[in-house]
Amino acid sequence: MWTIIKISWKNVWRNPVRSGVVITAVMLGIWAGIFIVGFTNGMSQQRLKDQLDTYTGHIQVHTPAFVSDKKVSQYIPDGDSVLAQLRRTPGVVAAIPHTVATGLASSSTNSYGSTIVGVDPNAESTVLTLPHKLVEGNFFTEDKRFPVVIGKSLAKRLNVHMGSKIVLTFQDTTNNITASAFRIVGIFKTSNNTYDEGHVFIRSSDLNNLLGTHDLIHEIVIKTTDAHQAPAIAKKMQQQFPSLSVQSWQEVAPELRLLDSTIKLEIYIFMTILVLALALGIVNTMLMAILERTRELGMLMAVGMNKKSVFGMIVAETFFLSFVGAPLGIFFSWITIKLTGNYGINLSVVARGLSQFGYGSIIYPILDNAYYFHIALMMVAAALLSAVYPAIKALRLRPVQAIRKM
Amino acid sequence: MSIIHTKNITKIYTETSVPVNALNGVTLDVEKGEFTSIVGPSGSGKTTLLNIIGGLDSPTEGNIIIDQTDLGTLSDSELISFRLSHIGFVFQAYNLIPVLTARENVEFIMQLQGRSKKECHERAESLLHAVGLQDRMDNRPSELSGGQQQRVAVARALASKPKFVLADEPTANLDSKSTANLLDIMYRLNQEEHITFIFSTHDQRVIDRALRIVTLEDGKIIKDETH
Repeated sequence: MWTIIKISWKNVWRNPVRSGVVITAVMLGIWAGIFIVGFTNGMSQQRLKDQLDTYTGHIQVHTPAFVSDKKVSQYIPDGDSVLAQLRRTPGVVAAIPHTVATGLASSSTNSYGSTIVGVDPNAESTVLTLPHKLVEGNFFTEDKRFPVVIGKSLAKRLNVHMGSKIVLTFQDTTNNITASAFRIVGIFKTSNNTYDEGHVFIRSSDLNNLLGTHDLIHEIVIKTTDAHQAPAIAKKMQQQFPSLSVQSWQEVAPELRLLDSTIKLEIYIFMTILVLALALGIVNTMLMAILERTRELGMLMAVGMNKKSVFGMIVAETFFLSFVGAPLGIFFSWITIKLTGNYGINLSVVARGLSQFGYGSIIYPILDNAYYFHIALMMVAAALLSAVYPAIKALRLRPVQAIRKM
Repeated sequence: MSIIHTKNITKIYTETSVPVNALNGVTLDVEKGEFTSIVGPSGSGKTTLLNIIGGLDSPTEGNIIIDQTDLGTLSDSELISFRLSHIGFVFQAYNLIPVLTARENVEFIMQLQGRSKKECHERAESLLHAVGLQDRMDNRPSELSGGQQQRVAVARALASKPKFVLADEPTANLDSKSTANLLDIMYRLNQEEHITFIFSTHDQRVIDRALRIVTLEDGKIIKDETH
């Protein structure tokens, strides 16, 4: 066995240039492939985290009717008590109340449909990061009458700026139209233009006054210790409050769940295609090697090298060709992903385009260690597959003919 | 008792558009310790006979019995194993493994037989010494002359302790001096260690040294002389 391995290793270096080219190709292919996978995964993970932290939270609680109709009258009964109980649930880091109305934001020049969110200014940042995404002004830290925080995109659409007044129009709980002027005290910018255009934030006390109610809660947004534990916690909450609709982020934003699962599938599809392409290159090299060594293989079989040993020799050669480059490629991709994952890759030149799809302009590539292991396994499988055909070709040689081959 | 017995061997190649009758009823016995040349013009069937005796090719008709084993009864894998333990081969083009040294080329055959590292090492040194290559043991084939490579091939052929050595035109690529040197070595091994050699050749220098000359023509033995 050791003799076969030794000969195989020496055979790999019989044509150093050709083997070097194949090994380099495998290394570069694996490096580039894993890095692209890490980059794509980093983009999607960032988007997922950004979406959860900025918009959806990990769990949302509403009345079932509000989920479908979004009417002001569909508030959570005894919302304060529900909120207090949810905050005490194991696994919950924080929970915040929202009062929500759907209406119109208007300036002197333009109008735009908006979701008007009433927030508790002190509690909001314990779950969502929107208060940290202000590009101008503050998040209700100054005591002003009817302050509003709007998105940068909406400000542009309405042609308003800090200190400008806008009018918010919406239905109250008795279905009467109510409107009031608000002064812009803060302008935020998230990575999602559509969200920025469609949401305005005011104090929940102001909104409740206009709705003619007191402490009305339509939505409770919850942050848990681990986003992936959210479905299990949501299930327990649902049992605790059967009359309410408790949804984990996967249910609130199914596109995020789809993104999360799709990206994993894409990683494997992409790497499978890449590894198969590399394997074809290896097959070609091994076929060339066998063609060149027909006479030698014939001699080996003639003098008594059995088929198992010939097969083993070809398989070992193929493995060496694959596994000199692959670990190097995996190692370099790991280093590259770690480095770029720390410092980020600045894509600000295409920031606008990325933002329209909900992506940030600085990408932090990331890849779980398990993927490196799986990719190494895929290379083993590809090396085995690429060894089979050349090895079978070698076994089909007839010594008596092969020896005389020029 | 013959170590090789061929009985009424016929070989017809049907791969070509016109079937070629390469051997036509060849019956031959070779005793242990013979130094035999199979001679004849090109196309007379020398190489085909050697391939059949070596178990590399099978006859269309007839039997070949080596050391009391009928090769026709062996499976492919049994035949490979039989060749490894019973037959040494020397090829016209040396056919050494280029990535191994002279010593490793000789050791390789014994390693296939599963012999110990120590035995492989000692026997390889002894055989290379016997063929006069004690100073070139660690050279690769590309660093050796044609004659030296063929001497390594002879050492390799003897490494497995075969019953006999088949050499297909072993001197065809060698100059006169290398040919004489190689023949001296093989003759000495035959005389001193009673190793059986069978050559196919049309090299007069080899024919002159042979103790038995079997002449083939059109696939038939037309003359069998012992000197």
